[in-house]
Amino acid sequence: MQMTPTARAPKRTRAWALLAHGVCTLLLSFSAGAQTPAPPADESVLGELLITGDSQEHVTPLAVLPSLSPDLEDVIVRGVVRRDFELTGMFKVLDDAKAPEGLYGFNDPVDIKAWSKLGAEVIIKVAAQKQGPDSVKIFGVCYFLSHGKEPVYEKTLIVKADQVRPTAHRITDALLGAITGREGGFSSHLTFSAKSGKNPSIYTVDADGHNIRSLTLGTDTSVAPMWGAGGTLFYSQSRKYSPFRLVQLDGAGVQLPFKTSIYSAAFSSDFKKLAVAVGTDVGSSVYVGNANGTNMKQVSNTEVATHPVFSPSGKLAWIGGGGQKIGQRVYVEGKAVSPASFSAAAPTFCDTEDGVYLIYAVAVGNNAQDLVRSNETGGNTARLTQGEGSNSYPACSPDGRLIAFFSTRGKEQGLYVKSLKSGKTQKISSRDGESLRWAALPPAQP
Amino acid sequence: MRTRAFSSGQVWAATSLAALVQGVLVVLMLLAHNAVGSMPRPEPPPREMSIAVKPMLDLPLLKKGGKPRPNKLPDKWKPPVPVKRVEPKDVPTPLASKTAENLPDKQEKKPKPEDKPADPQAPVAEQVDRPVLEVEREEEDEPNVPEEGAADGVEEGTEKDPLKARAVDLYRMKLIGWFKQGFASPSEEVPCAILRDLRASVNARLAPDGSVSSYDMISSGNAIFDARVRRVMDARVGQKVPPPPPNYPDILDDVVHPTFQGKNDQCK
Repeated sequence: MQMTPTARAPKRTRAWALLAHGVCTLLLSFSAGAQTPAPPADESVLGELLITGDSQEHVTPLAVLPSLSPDLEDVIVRGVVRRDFELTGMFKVLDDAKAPEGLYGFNDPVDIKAWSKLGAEVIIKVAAQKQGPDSVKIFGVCYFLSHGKEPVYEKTLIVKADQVRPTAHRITDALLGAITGREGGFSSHLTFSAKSGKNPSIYTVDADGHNIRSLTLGTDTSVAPMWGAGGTLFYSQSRKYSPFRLVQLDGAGVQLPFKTSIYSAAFSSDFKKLAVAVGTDVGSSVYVGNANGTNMKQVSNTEVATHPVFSPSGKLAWIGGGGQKIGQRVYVEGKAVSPASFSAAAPTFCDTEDGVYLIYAVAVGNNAQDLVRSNETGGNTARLTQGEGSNSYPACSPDGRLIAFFSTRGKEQGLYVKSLKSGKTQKISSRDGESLRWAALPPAQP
Repeated sequence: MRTRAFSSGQVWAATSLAALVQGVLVVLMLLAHNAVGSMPRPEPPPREMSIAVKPMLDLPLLKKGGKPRPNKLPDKWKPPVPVKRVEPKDVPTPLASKTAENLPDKQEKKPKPEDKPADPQAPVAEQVDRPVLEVEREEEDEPNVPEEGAADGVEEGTEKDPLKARAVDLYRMKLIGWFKQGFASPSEEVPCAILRDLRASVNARLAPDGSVSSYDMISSGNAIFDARVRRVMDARVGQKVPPPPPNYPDILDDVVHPTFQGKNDQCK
């Protein structure tokens, strides 16, 4: 049956009325939305809070043998190694007070049976002996108690007297490699910028929070430090209100073809590529080129692009956004990967034993930030911190086991490290700061 | 003249009958030969069978042995140390009343002079279940064994390096944890008596980048359990397994063999 034009007319009128009603409702909802404040962002997007480790996973009881030696080198080495093992958060380090009675000299045998009774599964013996006026012999031995009386691993290093502490970290790393198949990351150093007087300065600190020191002049404004090849240190420096230049501490630096400020920079893991955030008329852009500053090409297309960082596989991430009106997000290879409703900051990559993670900070209200973890492409998001003050500027240890960050938890602001395996968090310094970066020390000189 | 055994009519009838039978056979053969669309009966589909698989993952185990001394004969074989039995304990019956007045009298009844003595022929259960005494083995300085290996190894082990064996153990636990994420035994749908014996073995093939490219599964014989395993494995396809420890990158093969078991803490 064919419908006549007169029959169609009322239906058409109803359709127009419905359409007009819909448009009006939409406009009203928009105007209402403009008047009322925006609802708080849904934090469930950030995934569930990671509980401290998998309850199924076995935490190995480990003993670091006490030392009765009065030698300073021996005391330092043992203290450093024990502290490193505690910081890993991977082991249940047995209390010194529970150590069985016995001789704990350089050449004394280990009482395997007595330590077994205490529940230890792994025993670490470290010691240091002077070899001459300026050299020290440091050794580390590892026993698996299930394996017998013979050590399963031994490492001995002879170093100069002023290298005892870093060498003790190297011994820890080697012992961790023996116990887990993955070398440790304690022979490393962190750098950050923090206020020193009127202006920010560049600081460095050892992986265990020891030896913190400022390296730049208080009259300069020094920000965004990063580690280069061979343990060299680069940072952005402004002197007497000049644009920020990328400079090298005690070195020639990199010649870049930009007249405007360099806000931050990063080298790739093989130190062959350099990414820099360069100031523009409206904000900043990220450029990538050779490590010597040549062949620079723009890779970002947002109004603001800062804090570039390379993944272990060479992927480039940065913070991009459209100024203050539009939230800043983490971009990986030009694609936004962080949740759109959270303003993100300071991305870093962690090459962990579970794979590569992208870790960054997000603003969660009340002027606080929390750390969030996802895979390289932004999937499987999970929170690393929640309800523990503000947590910002994450940096990953070279072995991917620890994440360092600045926190204000418990009204105790400072530099903290968190085990990505067990979740255990420990404070290593009371210094607050920004732009934290962590890198391995260059190989030891023979 | 001899009379004929068969009349001509009988011969004709027999010949006709034989010809008819032959003709029918020929017609049947022709029909069978020219028949279109006749299909052989299909074979029954292969039946999925549950196969018990012992190892969880194909990674080398630490070899049992020691440090062989060539100039000396191996030590005398010794029987394994007997495992101490579990001490029997009184277990409260679930039928017991929870009120105090129904509690049994804790004081044992002392035998009275008028009580009958126990039957001397009655079997004594205590003598049957006599516990095995724990033998303290003499401590040995260094056992001399014919094969190199570790005291804490297993007979079927192949790995002689204790560091690598430990790294393999840790990595095996990590892989099991990775495959186990999101897997829950269907204890609410399958009775525990059936569930505890269910096992589904999976062959997960890995791409060069360490991601699960595909998998196949040996059925547990239970459709609900298999569906749970498939759901977990489908979610794993395309994801990267945790990388092997950097010191031993060779321990991860291009196929891993997780086995999903029905038994868990609630259903042993």
